[in-house]
Amino acid sequence: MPNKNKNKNDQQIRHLLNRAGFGFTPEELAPYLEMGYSSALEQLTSPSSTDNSALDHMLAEQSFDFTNPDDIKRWWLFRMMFTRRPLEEKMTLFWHGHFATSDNKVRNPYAMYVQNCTIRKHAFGKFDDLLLAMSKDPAMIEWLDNQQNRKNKPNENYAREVMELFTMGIGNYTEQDVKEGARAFTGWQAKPDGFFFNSGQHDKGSKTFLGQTGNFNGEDIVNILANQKATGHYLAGKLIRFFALYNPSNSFVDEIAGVYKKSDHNIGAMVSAIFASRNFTSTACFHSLIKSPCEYVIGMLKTFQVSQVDAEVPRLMAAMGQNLFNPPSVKGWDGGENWIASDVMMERFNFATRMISQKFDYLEKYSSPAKIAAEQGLTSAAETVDYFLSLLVENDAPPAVRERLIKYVSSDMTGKPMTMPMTNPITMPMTKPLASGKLPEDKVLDARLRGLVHLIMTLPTYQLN
Amino acid sequence: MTNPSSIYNSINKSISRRDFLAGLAALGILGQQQLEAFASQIDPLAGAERSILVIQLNGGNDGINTIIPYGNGAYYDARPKIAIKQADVLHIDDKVGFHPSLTAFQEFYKQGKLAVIQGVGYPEPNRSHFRSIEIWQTAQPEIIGDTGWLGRYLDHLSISQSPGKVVKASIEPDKEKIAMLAVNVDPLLPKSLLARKVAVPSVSDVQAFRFKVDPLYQADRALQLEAFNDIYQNFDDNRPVVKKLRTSGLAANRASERLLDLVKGHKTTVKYPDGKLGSSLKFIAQMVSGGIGAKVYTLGYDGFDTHAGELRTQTNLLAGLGKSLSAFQEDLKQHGCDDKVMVLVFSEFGRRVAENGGGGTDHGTAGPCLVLGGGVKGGLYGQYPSLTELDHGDLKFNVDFRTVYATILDRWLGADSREVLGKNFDNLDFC
Amino acid sequence: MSKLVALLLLIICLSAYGQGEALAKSISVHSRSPFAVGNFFSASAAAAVKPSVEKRPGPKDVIGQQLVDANPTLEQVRLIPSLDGPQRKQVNELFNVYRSDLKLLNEQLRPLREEFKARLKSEKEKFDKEKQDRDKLAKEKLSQEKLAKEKQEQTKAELAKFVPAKEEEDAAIIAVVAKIKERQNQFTQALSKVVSPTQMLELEQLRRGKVPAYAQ
Repeated sequence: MPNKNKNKNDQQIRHLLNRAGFGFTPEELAPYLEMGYSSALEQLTSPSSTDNSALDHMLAEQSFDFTNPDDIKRWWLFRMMFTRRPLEEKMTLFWHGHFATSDNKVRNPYAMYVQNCTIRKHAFGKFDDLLLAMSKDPAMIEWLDNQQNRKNKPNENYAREVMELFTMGIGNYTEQDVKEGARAFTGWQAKPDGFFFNSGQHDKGSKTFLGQTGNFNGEDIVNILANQKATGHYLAGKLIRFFALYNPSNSFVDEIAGVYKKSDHNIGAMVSAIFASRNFTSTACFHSLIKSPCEYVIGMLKTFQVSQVDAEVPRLMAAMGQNLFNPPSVKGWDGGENWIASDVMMERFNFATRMISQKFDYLEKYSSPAKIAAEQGLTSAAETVDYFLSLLVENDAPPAVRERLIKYVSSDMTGKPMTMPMTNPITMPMTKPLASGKLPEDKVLDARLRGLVHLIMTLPTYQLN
Repeated sequence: MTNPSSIYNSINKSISRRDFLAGLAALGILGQQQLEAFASQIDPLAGAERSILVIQLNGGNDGINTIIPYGNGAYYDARPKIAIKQADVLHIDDKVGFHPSLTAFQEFYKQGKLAVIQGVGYPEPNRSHFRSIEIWQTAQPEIIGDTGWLGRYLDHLSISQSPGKVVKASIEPDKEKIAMLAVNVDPLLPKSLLARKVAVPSVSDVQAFRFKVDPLYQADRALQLEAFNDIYQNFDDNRPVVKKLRTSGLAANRASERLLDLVKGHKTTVKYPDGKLGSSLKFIAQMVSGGIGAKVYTLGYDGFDTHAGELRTQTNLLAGLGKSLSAFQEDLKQHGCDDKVMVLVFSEFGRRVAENGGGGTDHGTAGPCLVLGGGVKGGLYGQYPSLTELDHGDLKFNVDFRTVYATILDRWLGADSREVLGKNFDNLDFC
Repeated sequence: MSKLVALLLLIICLSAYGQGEALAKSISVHSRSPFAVGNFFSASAAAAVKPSVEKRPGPKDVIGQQLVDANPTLEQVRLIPSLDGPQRKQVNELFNVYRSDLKLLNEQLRPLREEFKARLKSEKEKFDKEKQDRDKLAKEKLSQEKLAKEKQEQTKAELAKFVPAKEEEDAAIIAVVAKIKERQNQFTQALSKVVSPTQMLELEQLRRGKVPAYAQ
């Protein structure tokens, strides 16, 4: 293949991996590059046929306390880092934001963990199954007060949210439908060992829901909702905005809604269709989404091959606006530009600082910027800047940025230009700070390289996926 | 900060209203005295040091259990389990009173600093949290707006005054203006602050909000910061999403340096209650007394979606609200600023009159607004909605929330509410 | 005709070969699939680095470490599926009493620790001041000999660095810490009388992440 085509093809694969997963290490990328785009696409969109036993072995060697709210977050981050089925984890994250349940109210990390497993089980399958499983999920029942939904005093919370946020979206039902739907879900309760149908509390009477009448119970409601045209449309729009574009054309949404219908509500088919679409491979799609904190954090950990999920990561992700298992409300995370209010931008910048600071130098395999530069045999400022721009932002930056970065890297501590032999850039990290303004000459290079990588990771385009 | 021509512009805006009023006076509809009184309330310079703090109670606070119609038997009929006993209610008059947790508010009310506006809502109420919050924040019930009411206010402000710092323009100069006109003290920017021209920083933890470099290479910070600013200011890229990222990044940096300086210098003897609300209000007090000159502060307080277990939850939350605002007012008073901040407390909707099966209530419609602080004429405003003549089991509103906004905009901030809200709304008399 | 057959055969063979090649390739991709072994940070199957998870570090001070409570929390015990109504009531009461006892004990401990800290601070200040005075004195001596002697003593004094007293050796603090540990042990006993070992095992299963059938 001519070089240009190969480069474009490789870029497509990296784009695909970023969208279908959480970034990649060089070793993780290599087999996909070798496969070529269509095989990579097939591999990624059939997670159930990828062997994930390596992850299971790794998990077995860790110890998590699933009744501890911090540990369940670390567990999930570990999965996202080391899974061989990136799309499976990404879909789980999508559904977690969709069927948004917060441990803040549920107060049961174990139940949140079980909900996460339930989601993963159905993430790529038939939507009806997922919706039914969620309607019976103990954490969800607790979260939307269905425990209190009783025959003579119905509680409308679940019925409302299931229509407004989980299936059809606002404007496709009436208040009366909410009331009738609530009646159908009466008696759907949770016990410590799982779902419990309290038939004594169930309203067995006739209900009229979305134009249909019958002695409906929850299963019937799930069935009716999953078969609504509005549901296919709503889900299609959400999936496209999560994986492809913020403002898709109506025809694209219609197309994927069509797949929902044709495939008998199969989520995997919809997602595959999105990735296979020309809308996805077009240049307009490249770098068009803003990385969620999850993608930002995991992507960075993979780039620098940090082999340890450290204790602070869940808290820092929460500070960036994505607290796993604790979405801000039942609407989940709005995403998009909501990820970049000013103080969360600062959190992102400071997370990048943390990543390249000497904090992780003790970790084997951790690739500090200086180490990367040495491994790549970079010997000039321009080469270094070019390499890191290519690695981190796929060269998506105006020429002025490149020039300014070169100027930064090749200046000494007072800002004056410095000659850059770049020999032996790896030096021993300092153990305690020196007086400000002074840095020994052999440390200047290390500081510059770390600073360079930090500056690139604060670029607007590094926030893009 | 204000230059003569901008003052003239603001006066011009109010003159047009004055002309209108003068016309009315000429027709004998308004007396000269009334005209003068009205005109003085729209003196643009009066807005110079004033600011507004908007606290959003997230989840839909149960207004009926906040401002309690204890004199009405229907209240006890509808809520056999969760009604507050008459003896516990903190009386305002012989019909309504405060929830027992709100002792601080009763105190403010006695001092004449608290206005209770009853029955606030809007036509065709929406019982979805998100749509209703959006309506309150955009002040646009009929369409899905893309700017907030406070954002539009800030946009107008930034046109008529030159902002403190102007970023070097690259492509579209107007879109790059950044100023500390407002601060959002919450992790996520509420839609009320979405503006076309102004980027509002969101700062929930001022210590974390600082551009950091490798701690062992502090010497490098100045140069990195310089490079960062150069790159961001000259980032030549037309994509809308990139532009937003630029604006946000620059705003973050500017704001952080300024805020850190401010916080260092603040001293107070007031003890705020533990928790996010207390620490956020403390931070706002620091900014107000430190003189950053922001006109708008926003804050959210979570947990009011009481579908079940309402009594305990609401008791705790309202106690927190009362104590925190009490500390806040005291802190401002110590620094001579308590008459400069007006606090507006609202929720996206009230809750149903009847209780549900779980010791709670479901989403409703109208609810009370509370306005506290500087320039407030304390008292009860609006009507308490009827508990028996309902709209599908919910209260009917009698005060459009936009009149509350209009009052604050016109009379407190010296802005033109018609420009901000899109049409004329009456003013209430609480300020 | 035979040429056609030959051509046909050739085409069939070529396509078969092509398919076989593709099949072989796909098999080989999956059999040496990097997804099967090791981690992504090393190309070799025997990955040198084991990925790990860092736990939130516990208290750093000795007293804090001694006070760590190994008992489960009420939130955790509540999760036990087979806990029946009367048991739940008992457990709630047990925890209520335990928590209020601990609160009292901690309220005894806190002022002791604060006093200790204050003492430590004033002792350090005293030491620093004495050192300053010694240094001052040394500078005021004029004669060389005296200066030399002073210098010797100064050096000796400098070598005697400030050794801070240890919290964990303070008698009053030790006494209260012992009481707290005893109360913790008492609680473990009391809990074991209400919740059976099998039930505690159930909790252990939950903590390890046992997933119920419907979620697997």
